[in-house]
Amino acid sequence: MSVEENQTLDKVQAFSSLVNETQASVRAFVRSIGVASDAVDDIAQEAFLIAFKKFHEFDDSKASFRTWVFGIAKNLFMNDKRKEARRSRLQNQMIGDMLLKLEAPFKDHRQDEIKTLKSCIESMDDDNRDLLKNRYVNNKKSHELAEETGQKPAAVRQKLLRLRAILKKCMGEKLS
Amino acid sequence: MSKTLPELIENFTEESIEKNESTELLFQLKEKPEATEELRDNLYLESLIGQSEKGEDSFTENLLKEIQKVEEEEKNAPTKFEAPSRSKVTQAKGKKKTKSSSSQPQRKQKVDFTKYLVWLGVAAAFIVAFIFLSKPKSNLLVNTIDGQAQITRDGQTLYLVPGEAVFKGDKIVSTKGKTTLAFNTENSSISLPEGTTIVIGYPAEEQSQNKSIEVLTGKAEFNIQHQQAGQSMQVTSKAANVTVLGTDFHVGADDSSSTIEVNKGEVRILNNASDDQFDLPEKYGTTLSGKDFPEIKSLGKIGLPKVLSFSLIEPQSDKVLQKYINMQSGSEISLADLTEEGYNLRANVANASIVKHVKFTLTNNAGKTVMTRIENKTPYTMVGGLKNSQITHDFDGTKAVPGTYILTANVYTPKSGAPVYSAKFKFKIK
Repeated sequence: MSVEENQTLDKVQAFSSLVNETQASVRAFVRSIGVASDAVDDIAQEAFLIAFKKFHEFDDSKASFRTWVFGIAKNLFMNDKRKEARRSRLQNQMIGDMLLKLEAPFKDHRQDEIKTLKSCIESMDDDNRDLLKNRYVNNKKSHELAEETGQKPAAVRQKLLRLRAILKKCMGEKLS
Repeated sequence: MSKTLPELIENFTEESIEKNESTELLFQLKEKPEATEELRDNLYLESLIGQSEKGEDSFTENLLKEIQKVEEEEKNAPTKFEAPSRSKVTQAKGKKKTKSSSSQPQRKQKVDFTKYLVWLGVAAAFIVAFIFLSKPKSNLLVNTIDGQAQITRDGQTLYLVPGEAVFKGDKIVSTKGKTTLAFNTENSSISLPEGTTIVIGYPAEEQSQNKSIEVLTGKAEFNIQHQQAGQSMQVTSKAANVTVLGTDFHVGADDSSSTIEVNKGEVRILNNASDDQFDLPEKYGTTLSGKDFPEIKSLGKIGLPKVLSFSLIEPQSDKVLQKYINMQSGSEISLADLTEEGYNLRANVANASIVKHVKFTLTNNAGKTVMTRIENKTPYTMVGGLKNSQITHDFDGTKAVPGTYILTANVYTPKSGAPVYSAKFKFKIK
C-alpha cells in the first residue's frame, strides 16, 4: 500500500468516526430548518459529502465537527434557495426562511447527543416514555394518542410540549 | 375554528398541516418570534428522539459508499493547480499540467532543461505583462480588495491586486471567502461570496455608455452610488437584467434563476424569460425563474401584502410599456401610447404568496363604477386574460376613454373578511 493510499484511508477512517458521532444531530438539524422529513437524509448526506471534500479546512480549535457540518448544511440550503428543488424539499418556504435565521439548538459541544438524550429519556417515568415513543417512534398523531388514552388532543399536545421542554432542559444541562 | 399555536406547531411537525393553517402559523410566528424557536426545537427533538429509539440505520453505510465514490473520482481527476499570490494561475486552456503527469522520467527531463525553462518563464512573464500593460487606459480601478479574487483576461488568469485596472470582458472570481472590491469611481463596491463569478461590461474609455456587470454564478452584493442623469448601470444574469437606479443591492444567479434583493434605493428588473418589467423598491427582494410573474417579498421579517405600484400593460403586445412601469397615484396615460385594444393595469403586489385575491374597482370622475373584478391569480390585473406560465401571457384590455379615474385595489388574505391592504390609484387618460 502506497503512502498516498494510507493517508486516504486515515482520512476516511477519521471522517467515518466523526460521522458516527454526529450524523443523528446533523439530520435533526436539517429537519429543524423545515426540511420535509423524507428529504432530510438526502440533504444531510450532501452536507457530509461537502464536509468530506473540505475536510482539510476543518479546524477543531474553532468549532466542533457537529457545528461545522451544521454550517455547511445551512449554507448548502441557503445557496440552494433559489432552486425549485429547495422549495420542494421545504415544508413551507416562508416558515423555512424564518427557521433558517435561527441558531442551532444547544451550543457548540463535542458530546454524543443521542447518548445524552437517551439518558434524559431514561430518567422519565414509564407513561411519559411511552408517550414519546408512540409519538416520535411509532409516528402516531396527537389525535390518535388522545383517542387511545381517552384524553383531549389539546391535552396530549400540551403534555408533549412540556416533555420536550423537560428534555431540552435536561440535554442543555448535560451538554453544557 | 382557528387553531392554537401549539396545535399548529404540532400539525406542522406531524406534516399534517393544511395550507390555510400554514398561513395562520406564519402569522402567529411573526407575532411571537419565540414560538419559532419552539417550532425549531420541536422539529429537532422529534428527529433526534425518532433516531435514538430506532437505533442504527443505513444512513452511515450509504454515506460511506458515496464517500468511496468521491474518492475514486478524485483519484482519477487531475490535481488542482495552486499558485502563490500575484503569479500566473493558469496558462491558456489545455496547457495546465497535472500532478499525475509529472512522473519520474519527465522530472529527469525537466532537470536537464532547467536553464531553458527559466528563460521560458521570464519570456512568459514578459508576454503576460505586455498583454496587461498594452491595454488601453481604463477609468475603472480596483482600489482595495478585502479577500482574494482572480481575474481572467485574454485567457490569462492572475490574482487581482489593489490598483488593478479592469476592462470590459474581464472575468473576476472570488477564490477565498467573501471578497469585497472597492472601485475608484462613484464610491462603489461589490462583495462576492466565495465562488461568485462576474464579468465586467464597463466601457474602457467611453464614459457615456452604460456600464454593466454580468453575474455568472454565485451571489454578488452591489453598493452603487446614485447614477447621474442619463447614465445607468446594468447588472445582468441569465434570468434577469437589472437596471440600477442608485442603490445597495444583491444579485445571485445560477443556471435557471436569479435573486435580487434591494437594501437601499431601487432597481428596475427585466425578466429575460418573459420580457416583463417591474421596479423593485428598497427593502424588497424577488427571485426570477421562468416566465411567471415573480413574488416580490419583504426583506428580513415576513411582511403583509402591499400594492407597491401599478404598471400599464398594452394588450396588443402584452407588454408593460416602459413609460408606465412604476405608476403611482396622479399618473397620466396618453392615448397616443395605446392601441385600439385599450389598456390593462397590473397591481404590483408584494408578499403575494399569502394573498387570496385582489378586488379591483374602477370609478370615473362622477363616482360611477365603471368595472369591478376579482383576480385570484398573479399577476393581478384589472382586466383578465389568459395567464399560463408555459406560454406568454395574453392579456385583455379595456377601451381607453379620456377622463379621470380612480382604481381601488383591495387585497384579501384567506382569513381576512376585510381587505388587509387597500390602494387607491388616481389616474388620467388624455
